[in-house]
Amino acid sequence: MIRKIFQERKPLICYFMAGYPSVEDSLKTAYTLIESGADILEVGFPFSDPVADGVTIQVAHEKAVKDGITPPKVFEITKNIKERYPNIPLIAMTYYNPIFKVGEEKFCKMAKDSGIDGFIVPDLPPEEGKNFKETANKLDLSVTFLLAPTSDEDRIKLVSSMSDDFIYYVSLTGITGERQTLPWDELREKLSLVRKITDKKVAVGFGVSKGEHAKIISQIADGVIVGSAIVRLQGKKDFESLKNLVQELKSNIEV
Amino acid sequence: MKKYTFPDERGYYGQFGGKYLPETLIPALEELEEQYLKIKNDGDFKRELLYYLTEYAGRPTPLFFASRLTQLVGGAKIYLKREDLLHTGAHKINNTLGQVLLTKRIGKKRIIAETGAGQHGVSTATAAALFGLECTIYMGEEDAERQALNVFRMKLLGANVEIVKSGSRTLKDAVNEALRDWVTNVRTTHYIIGSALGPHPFPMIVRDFQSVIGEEVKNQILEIEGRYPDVIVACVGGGSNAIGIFYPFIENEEVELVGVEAGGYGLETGMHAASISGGNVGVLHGMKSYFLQDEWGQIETTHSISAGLDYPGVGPEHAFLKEIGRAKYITATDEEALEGFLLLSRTEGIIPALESAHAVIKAVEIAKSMDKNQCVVVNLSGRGDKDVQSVKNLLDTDKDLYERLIKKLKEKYGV
Repeated sequence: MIRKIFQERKPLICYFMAGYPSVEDSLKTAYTLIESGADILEVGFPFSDPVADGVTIQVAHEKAVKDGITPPKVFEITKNIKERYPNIPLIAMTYYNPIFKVGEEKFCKMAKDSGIDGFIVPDLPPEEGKNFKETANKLDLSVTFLLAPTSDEDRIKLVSSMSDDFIYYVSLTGITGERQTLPWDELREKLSLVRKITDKKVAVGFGVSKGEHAKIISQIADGVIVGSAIVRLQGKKDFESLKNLVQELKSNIEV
Repeated sequence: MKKYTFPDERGYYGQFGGKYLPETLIPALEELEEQYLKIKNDGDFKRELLYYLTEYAGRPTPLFFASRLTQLVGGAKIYLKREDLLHTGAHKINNTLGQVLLTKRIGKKRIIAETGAGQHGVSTATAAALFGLECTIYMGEEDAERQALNVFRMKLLGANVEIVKSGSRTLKDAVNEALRDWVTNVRTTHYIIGSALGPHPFPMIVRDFQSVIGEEVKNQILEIEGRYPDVIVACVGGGSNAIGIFYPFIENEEVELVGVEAGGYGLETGMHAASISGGNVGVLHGMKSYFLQDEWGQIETTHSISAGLDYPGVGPEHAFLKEIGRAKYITATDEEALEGFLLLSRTEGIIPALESAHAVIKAVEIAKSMDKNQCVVVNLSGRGDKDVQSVKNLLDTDKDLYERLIKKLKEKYGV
């Protein structure tokens, strides 16, 4: 399902936090994202210690954990989204410990039964993720690993060989959060190196927050990932601005 | 025991350890491991480290026979490994000096660290000042309040102190924030993790730099007693002082190794920081180990009277030593730690850090059950100056506690 979308177009991949600021508001966020043009949703699973996240998404994690948004509650949310929009792929974006604690097999099964199509686990590098990938793949769930500006050729090979439908390229050395600009020269250079090594699809995320960013990324990569800019509006329940943001991003993607 | 060769080439101690961090940091971990293995046995590096450990930090530290305490307890001989006498007042400096020298070799100009009680922060700020490196220390807001003097101390040493207000505002969150800094500035910055935890190769590097404690004990006890100790006791938060004194003895199976975790208000209350005794296996801060967590893997808040033990996880090698039964892990409550704090102050004229006081009181209990010709070594990992103010505040506001402790000391030890 994810692969097919990447074949058809350069998808806009939108992250939101499940259960934030309430279950209803997060559902409304998901529907707004889809209705405004999101091609794929990344569903954030709340975690107590989100080390890869900047303040905006940290605050969302903290509140959702406090409100008791456990994996079963997230899976309820994804079920609802899938029933309403069966053609929109849902990717679970979760830190590894909840998966580990529940058990890889059980977690994958719960995910499969709840409309999830794949996983991104930011603190699970390919070295530690072999078993998880096998478990997920058995249920036809895809796993995406991440590349960063610091990854060398050997790691690009490893990450691309382990990633199923696409690779998540982290645009900068840093944590999630909106940025005015991105290190474009480095990004171009690194992406062309990635292109030389693999023909896997590459989506770019971290810092991406406006139409101009989406435009440039769509010229050099295969997909655009947006997170913090969405979560900020989600937290304010400002669905009108959210709609405008997604439309702006979407309209800037060049096919 | 056959040769002990952990960690394996993937950075695992049995099922524990590993490298669970975002991709951005993985190349830095690989580089660190490569550089470390290269210089670890390099003569110049070893000489330079030894020079600073000796001339600057004050090694070797004495192994002191606590004769009065031994007599009052009436069991095995109790020896104190005096890490509290080191420059900056705790064992932490063994690791920071080693890692700062390593940073210099790697060519990075900036160091960051997390701190709980402030001991590791002070020791990192000290080493940064000594070598002219830029330094930022992350400290949880709650810890900064209870260890206010250490915050000033770090600033005095020229470090930038960032107060962390997220999550539980303690050590765990300081680690999170330090990791976020590292992921952002990894090209210019080295992260000096303060305990034998985190992703590989940190648990190994910190262990190796702290092993000087156990190596010295080996020589010292042989000289005094003509044999190895029967039991070694050390407090365990992340576990660096404990692994430092345990590691050289791992293959000497006749030596019993006992780690003392922070029991807080008691394991049964859920308000503690004993991740081995009261937690289960999870993955956080780059490692697979024991953590205090709920059924869905959310990390739980901890409690300990000592900020340095107030961490919801433990280094992976301790998890492994527990699993293979080579070391035993027990707990001491806040109140027991206070008893140890007062007891050592009054019997030996040594005010221990509250962290180390956990080990002291359990070593006393263990010694009591042993023969007079046996001996117990306690790792006195730090001195208690930093805790005097908070203990005073505690005893001033809780008179019952104070009375209870004084009565206990009189009845049990006659002091």
